[in-house]
Amino acid sequence: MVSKKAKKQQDSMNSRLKLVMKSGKAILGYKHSLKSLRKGKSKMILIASNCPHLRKSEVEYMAMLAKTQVHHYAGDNTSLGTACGKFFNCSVLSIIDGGDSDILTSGTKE
Amino acid sequence: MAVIKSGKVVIVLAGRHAGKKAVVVKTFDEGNSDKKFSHCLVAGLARGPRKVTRSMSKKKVEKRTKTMKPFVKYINVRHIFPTRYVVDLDLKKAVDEADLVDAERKVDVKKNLKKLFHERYLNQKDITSEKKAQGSNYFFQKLRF
Repeated sequence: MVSKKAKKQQDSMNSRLKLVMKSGKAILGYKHSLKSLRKGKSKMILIASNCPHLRKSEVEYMAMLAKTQVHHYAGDNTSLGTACGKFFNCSVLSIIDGGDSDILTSGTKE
Repeated sequence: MAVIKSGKVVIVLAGRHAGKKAVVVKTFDEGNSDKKFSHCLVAGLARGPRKVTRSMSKKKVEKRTKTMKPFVKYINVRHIFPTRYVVDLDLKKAVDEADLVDAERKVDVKKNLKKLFHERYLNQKDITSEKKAQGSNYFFQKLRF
């Protein structure tokens, strides 16, 4: 069973994502996220838990080169998609503009 | 702040040279009139130097390192994977874009490249900065997969 603390962190992440979707700009999907990384537009990357390991490593490496923060989302791609309010799943999410959300600043603490 | 910058070692992912390492000479972030996509000009090693051991004579070493075969190519940025390594060879002088249009002159460009790479490979000990030495070392090693 997911511990209380973990669940709380998860909820806060979800609510932050919701705000980003509403007020900021995010890119869903592996290919497009990589493109944003390459251009240096990405501010933060979220990777779902069931993302294939090779793909996860690849995205992490690119993010390291681009000096972009990576957050391993506690939840699979279906949850990530739902958290973004979409009806499809999403393994890799790239945040271009945080908008009103504090996801970029508080992301470092978690 | 783009990731792919000139001087960076990249791995070619697609095409004839897939799996080979190359150095970025020039990037065209917005593309140009011919190619309306983000691409870059890379210079790489189609065939690397042969393995060399301490017991080999100097002549043999020279011969075995001469087997390097360079290539020059315009590649879509999606088909290369950047690495953290950087090679500080001044390739912009060697690879002149005007020369790449003509087939004959392209051969000359590749000959110059071969000389440059050959020199760099043989003089790896002379590179003082550790970061630069790592980059050159990585570039000449074959990517095993």
